[in-house]
Amino acid sequence: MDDEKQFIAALLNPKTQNEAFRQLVARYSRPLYSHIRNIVLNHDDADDVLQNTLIKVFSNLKNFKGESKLFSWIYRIATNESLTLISQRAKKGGITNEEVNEKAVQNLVADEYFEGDALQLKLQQAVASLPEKQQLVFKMHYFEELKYEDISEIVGTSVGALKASYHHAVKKIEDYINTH
Amino acid sequence: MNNFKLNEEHKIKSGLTSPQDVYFENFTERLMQQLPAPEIKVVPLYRRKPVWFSAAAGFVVMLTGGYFLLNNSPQATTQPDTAAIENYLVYQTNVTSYDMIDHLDSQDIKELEASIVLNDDAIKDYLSDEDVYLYE
Repeated sequence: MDDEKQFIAALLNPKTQNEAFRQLVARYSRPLYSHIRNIVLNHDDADDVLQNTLIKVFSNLKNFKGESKLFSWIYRIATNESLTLISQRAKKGGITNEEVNEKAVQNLVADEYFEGDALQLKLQQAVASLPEKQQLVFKMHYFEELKYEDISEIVGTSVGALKASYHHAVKKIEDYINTH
Repeated sequence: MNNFKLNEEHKIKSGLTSPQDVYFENFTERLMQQLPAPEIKVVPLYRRKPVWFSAAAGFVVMLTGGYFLLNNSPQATTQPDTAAIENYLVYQTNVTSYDMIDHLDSQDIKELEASIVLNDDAIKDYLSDEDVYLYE
């Protein structure tokens, strides 16, 4: 915790800011990429969102109050940026967010950064059929193995509600796979 | 597929793969170049005054202007009378009688003679004041 305080202080100090931010990028770019990629699915979109996220983090460092963990704050920005991209795509195409996700899953087959087998592809299809909130909880807990407490801090939902969403998501996924 | 149970299966990975390390190395460099420049604190040469300051300045100008307007209303220019000019020339300047005489021509002298009415008593008074004795 003290290390994090020192790190945040270095990020806020104009003299050490750039070097500290370089460390932040080195520390977070891989897990953040995975988090964003799990939401938007496409590599190029993940690349754009990751870039926007980190620039937003840098620009808003002065507004970071330290009330939540740095990790949660950065993940919250990344999650919001990812969902914003999906909403923009949906609005532009005149379709729902879920339809945008279903299209992204269809494109996975030809994606050079997808190496899943038939079951993995079917799992992605099943996840894409879920409501957005359940998709988010499932991806973060099942694929990224984030704790409910951390997810709660990132998405601003109670742990109980997250567990219920995850339970519903698992049931729907099992039904989908059993019937398709 | 029947009776698929997610929690009873081996952990199923997403199938999404991450790019090579070189991508993240390039990404970091690319990102660092795109970071917004640090904000430079600019000291304005002209700082806009608050509204109350302008209002106070306006009030002072109106007060001063009003005072001068009331106390310096244009007055009719008055010409000094002849006596004032005479007094000025006699007492307030270095102009001597001789200087004035030099500026008189014969016409002026004639006009002066015509305008001066002297009676005998006045002449006597003058001569006695000047200690001039008449020998009759």
